Amino acid sequence: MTMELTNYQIILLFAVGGFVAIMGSLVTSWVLRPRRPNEEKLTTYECGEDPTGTAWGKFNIRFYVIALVFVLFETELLFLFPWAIVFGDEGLNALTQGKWGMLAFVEMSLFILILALGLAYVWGKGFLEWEKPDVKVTDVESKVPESLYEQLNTKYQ
Amino acid sequence: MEQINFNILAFYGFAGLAVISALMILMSKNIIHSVFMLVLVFLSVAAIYIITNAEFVGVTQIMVYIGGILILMMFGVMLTNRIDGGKMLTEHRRIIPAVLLGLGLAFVFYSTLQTKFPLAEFGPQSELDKSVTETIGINFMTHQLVALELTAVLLLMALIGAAFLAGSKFEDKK
Repeated sequence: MTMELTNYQIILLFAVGGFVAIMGSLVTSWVLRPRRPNEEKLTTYECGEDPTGTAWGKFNIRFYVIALVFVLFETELLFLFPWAIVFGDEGLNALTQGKWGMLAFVEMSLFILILALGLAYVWGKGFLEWEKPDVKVTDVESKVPESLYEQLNTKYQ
Repeated sequence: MEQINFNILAFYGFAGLAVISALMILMSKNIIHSVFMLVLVFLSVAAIYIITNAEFVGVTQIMVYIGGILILMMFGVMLTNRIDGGKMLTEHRRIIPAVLLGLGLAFVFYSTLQTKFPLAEFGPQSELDKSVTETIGINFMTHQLVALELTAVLLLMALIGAAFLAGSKFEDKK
């Protein structure tokens, strides 16, 4: 008896395989590694700097608006999946003398266009614009003339 | 027969995972851990959808809830003004209304389960050669065409409303 795997069993096998691959490497390294912790090793790694405070920072509220817009467009995307797999259906096209594909294309274009209005609104209102920090250029009026620096630079060349 | 056994096994596995992670949300002191436990709940629910042959709903669950809503919740936590370096701990408050609500909900579930609940029926496997998603797609383009375009308008309203509400917050700040 050959065991016929359904699609979901294949997905499950993939999930199990992925889980084992990740956990296996973590567990193996946990078993093999030497355990000699000291205070330096236990600090949070922050590019060689000593970390201060907690890792919890406040997000800019702009992220939130963009995430909201993202969720709405993702919902739109979900409607595209079932459409995309029947859009170019040969059988249905032959059945309707090619009108099926045209109908599917026009209707989905309309669907996307309606939502594009939303994108235009968000864009036009400037919700997608990012606040750039003001770069303060400080002009220092140095009393030392430029030529002295020049001399210093050439002296040690 | 073997197929059904596998389904029931998977159902109990994922349902148990969902319940346990839901309990972990309640028990965990750290609010970030609660949000991560919510990922597990959503994943198990998606898996249950998939074993009951509702593959499209399952994928929707993963994409919208795990990909979208959860990120929003994470931002919601991270955007909170109360974050000022200290750890944010969850607290137990308003215990009496919570108990009353919980009992009411338990009663609703109990009375629903009094009638025979078709747990073991996992929905008919589609007899057509079209998959569930293909059937949905064909329906979108034929019977539900107006509904699809109305959905676009609804999504547009939601998009503009959400952007307006969230955007007005930082308009004020400027």
